[in-house]
Amino acid sequence: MKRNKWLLSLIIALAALISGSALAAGSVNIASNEYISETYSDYITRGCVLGDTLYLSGRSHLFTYHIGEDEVAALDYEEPEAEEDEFRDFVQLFSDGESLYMLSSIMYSDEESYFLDRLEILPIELDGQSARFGEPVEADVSELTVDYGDDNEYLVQINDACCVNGTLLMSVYDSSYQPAVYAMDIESGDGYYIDDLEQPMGITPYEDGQVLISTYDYSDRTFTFYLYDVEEEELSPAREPIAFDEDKFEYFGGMAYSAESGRLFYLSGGYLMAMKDFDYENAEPVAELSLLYSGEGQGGLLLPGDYYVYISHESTYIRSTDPEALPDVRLIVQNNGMGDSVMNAYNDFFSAHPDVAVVLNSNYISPESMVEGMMNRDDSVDIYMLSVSSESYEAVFNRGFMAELTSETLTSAIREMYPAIQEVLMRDGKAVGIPVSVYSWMPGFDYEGWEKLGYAREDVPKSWKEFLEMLPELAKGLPEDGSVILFPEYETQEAARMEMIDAIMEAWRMHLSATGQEPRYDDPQFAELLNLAMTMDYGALGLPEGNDEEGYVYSVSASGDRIHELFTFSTGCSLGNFYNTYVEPALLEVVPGEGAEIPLSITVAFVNPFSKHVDLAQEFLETLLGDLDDQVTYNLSDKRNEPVRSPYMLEYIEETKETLEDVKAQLETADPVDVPSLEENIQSLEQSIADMEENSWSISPESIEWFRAHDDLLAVQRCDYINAADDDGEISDMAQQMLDGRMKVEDFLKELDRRVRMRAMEGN
Amino acid sequence: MRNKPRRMRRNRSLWLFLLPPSVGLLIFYVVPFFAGIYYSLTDGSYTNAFVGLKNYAEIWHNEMFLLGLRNTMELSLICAPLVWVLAFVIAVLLNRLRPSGALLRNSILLPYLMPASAMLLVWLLFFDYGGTLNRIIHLLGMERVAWLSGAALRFPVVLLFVWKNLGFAVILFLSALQAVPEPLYEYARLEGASLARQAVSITLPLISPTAMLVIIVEWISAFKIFREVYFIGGAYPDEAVYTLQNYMNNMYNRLNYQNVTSAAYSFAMIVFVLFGILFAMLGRAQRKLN
Repeated sequence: MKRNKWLLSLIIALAALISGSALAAGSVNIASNEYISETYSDYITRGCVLGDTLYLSGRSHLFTYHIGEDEVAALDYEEPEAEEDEFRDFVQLFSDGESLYMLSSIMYSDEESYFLDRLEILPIELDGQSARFGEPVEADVSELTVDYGDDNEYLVQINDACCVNGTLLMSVYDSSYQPAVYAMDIESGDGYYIDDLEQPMGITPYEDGQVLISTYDYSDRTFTFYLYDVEEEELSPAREPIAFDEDKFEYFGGMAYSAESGRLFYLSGGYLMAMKDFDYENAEPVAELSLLYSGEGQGGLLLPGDYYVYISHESTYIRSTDPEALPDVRLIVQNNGMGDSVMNAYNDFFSAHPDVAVVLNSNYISPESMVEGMMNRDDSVDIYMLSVSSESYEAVFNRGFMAELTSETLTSAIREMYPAIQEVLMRDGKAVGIPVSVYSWMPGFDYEGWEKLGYAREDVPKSWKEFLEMLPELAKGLPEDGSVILFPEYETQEAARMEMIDAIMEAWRMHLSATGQEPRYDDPQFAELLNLAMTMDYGALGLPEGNDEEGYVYSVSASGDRIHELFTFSTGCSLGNFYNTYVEPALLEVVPGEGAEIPLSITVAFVNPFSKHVDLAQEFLETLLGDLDDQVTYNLSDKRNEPVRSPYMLEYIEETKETLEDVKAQLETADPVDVPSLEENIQSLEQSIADMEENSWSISPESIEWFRAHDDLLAVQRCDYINAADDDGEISDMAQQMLDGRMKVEDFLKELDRRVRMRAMEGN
Repeated sequence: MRNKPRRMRRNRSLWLFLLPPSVGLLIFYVVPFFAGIYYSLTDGSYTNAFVGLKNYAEIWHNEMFLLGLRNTMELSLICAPLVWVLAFVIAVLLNRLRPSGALLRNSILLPYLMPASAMLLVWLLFFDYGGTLNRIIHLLGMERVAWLSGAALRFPVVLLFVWKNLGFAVILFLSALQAVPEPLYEYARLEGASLARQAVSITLPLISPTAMLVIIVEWISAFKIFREVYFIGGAYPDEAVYTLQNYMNNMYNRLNYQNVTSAAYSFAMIVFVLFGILFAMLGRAQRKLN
């Protein structure tokens, strides 16, 4: 009897182990857009489930996936023919439970505008490794167009869609930019908006021909779930409204209902949650699923066996919803929001560590909560990401609440970084964090414009004082053809005054911080600069009082060349951020002779010293370091100096070249009357290609050269006494009073200096 | 012996009744008290090392802590006696008006009951550079004063404190005065005692416990002057009104709990010593009066 019991226990344990691992093995990140675009020159837009197959649609392929597979399989299809000047877009792939369909929009372009010509429901016939579109059903578009104010007409934005009983239901932003649900009969193409739905958020098929719709009431901040009977066209609430949870910041994104298990799945705080019978209070996490932009993908698909599918911009995620399959080891990363690098690291780490759940939680956590948690030895978060200029970072850095990084990969990478950056990553000689974002903005000059006014590079002002004193004279010497102006055309007098004051203050603060000086603002030199900026007659510098009501429109000078804007208040300065190719950072000194600084804003990822998974967290940081994009890595040290082209621009150049070849082919057989316009088109395309090739740099050789030549001026923005001392907004109020002329510059600086000095005297 | 079981039962019932409030007292007073001491003796870092009195030494060498402490003591030495004297005088006058002074008696308590934030707004308007007080001053031919900035802010702060706390002190004095037997004054008048002599020989000795209570309550309230200063002057008001509470509040906002607790316990010790001296002095004075 004992032996039988032992055998039975062993069998049960083995069965659990096998089933558990099989279910866990179903959780994958597949079909990343990077993989698809590299392998197939395509990218995934939408998807749906039919039977046990997940179908994913790209521009020219359909992809299929089954649970247990590692990769997708591609099916080719031929795009239906379109007339000249028509542009087809595949908007939504969907299934009615028996067949596949594609909702496709056709835009028409004439010389004046661009508008939605028709919307088609295309049945898809599958045949082995290929697919074919059947005869389209034209849909009624009268209620599905929107004008975004540019005189063009577009299809409304479709967020989510599902098909129930032959009706395609779509959550959209209607022509008034309001969220709504549109129901379309897929046989006739007729449709209507569902009435009495305030602020619908998500939509998913339910049971018995019903659809589940979530709505949010902004006035009382509650969510309500409704059941909509498609046949009867009746709406009824599914349960009592749920109050919005400020801590969890839940909005039930990516909803999917499983009739199989009676559970409603939704995304929350890096987890996939499940609630049964709308029992929200007892919802439980069943899988981890972290998304960067969870509102912009397509969630809410289920494969048989309750495998949840979410299609985002980065990747398609499949998750088992068996709570037993959720890994016990969880790595919680707080305040991510750091873009593609973090998502890439998340995907790569997932692949390498399927037994670890990485939860990226971007819900806001206040500095007080974070530091108090650390003081209480809280281990609920493993990795934090904070801006170096924040008070939180200052607080944890000073107190040593950052685990020492012992990984050789991390420490050796840090040792190679610029000294200014190492300073904020090392404490008492030990590495404690890695940078995950680096950028720099500062005022800029268009040196070509200065040259046109007769100023060689060495004659261009080197200090703020010199620049401000020179402005009135410069204004008098501007050419009449308007080819050179002092400031960007969109600037107004008041805006320019405010931005000038801001720029000078930023430069002053950075200078004090970088030179290790005590903060002081009641300084005669600083006051002089602010007075110059405040008393400047910006109208005499050519700036209008207010903006044109029609908005800002880039223009050219009378000669047809681009207009040179001598001074720009803010231009990208870090590598990968030099987006304006005509402007170079100005490097104006606040104190003549003391040099200028290049301010760096850095966000650092570090490990909570109380984390139970310090080594695992370091492994994640290693993955993250390896996945940092060029915009970060190029600014960390001088090791990488190869220019980088923008992949999107390269792709666009290739597409334009293809278009050029098509037009050239048309020219060979064109009627004589069409030849001039085709030749003009060819010339225009060739010029576009040349311009794009010149401007296709993501990191240009010139920007690398400039940055490396000035990397001794790099200074990291630390926690600023002004921000810290302005808890109640009084400093901001006083600054506004000064700008309005109600407070003298000297009085403002005296008051500012007093506060900052008192703050400094209080100590850390 | 026969009563022993009953006494034991009574003691057990007594302890059972005392248990809930004792637990509450333990959790919300005793434990935080000792936890605060612990915080003040550590460095608040990752290792949370014990540093002894280093935090105390640091704050006692900190200019802002000393400034706040000095201002707090000065303000309390101005406000508490002022309220005490005014409250006594008003209570004596009201006592003479009874029962017809009932409306006045009830009205004088109103400021104490009003929400401070709402009243601060009214006072801000009153003391504003273009406000009522400055208009009166201007009408009298004098220069306007910037009451809400600089060292002049002390005046509205003191005035606001007196205005708010006067009523409660008056009520306390009034109830004590009303308890003094009238025949004593009659006998004193018959004996030819002046008003002042009556006050010194009859009134003060009989109301001395209440008088002590009023000075203690008002002094403690004066130590806690902060809300008005913060509302008007912000986290960093003029140095003349920067109080110890400002310092502790700013340290708290910067999550420097070591400095907050060190400052708080330092001040607590000062208050403990001061009140010890005060009790001794008042006790001696009372014995003399008796």
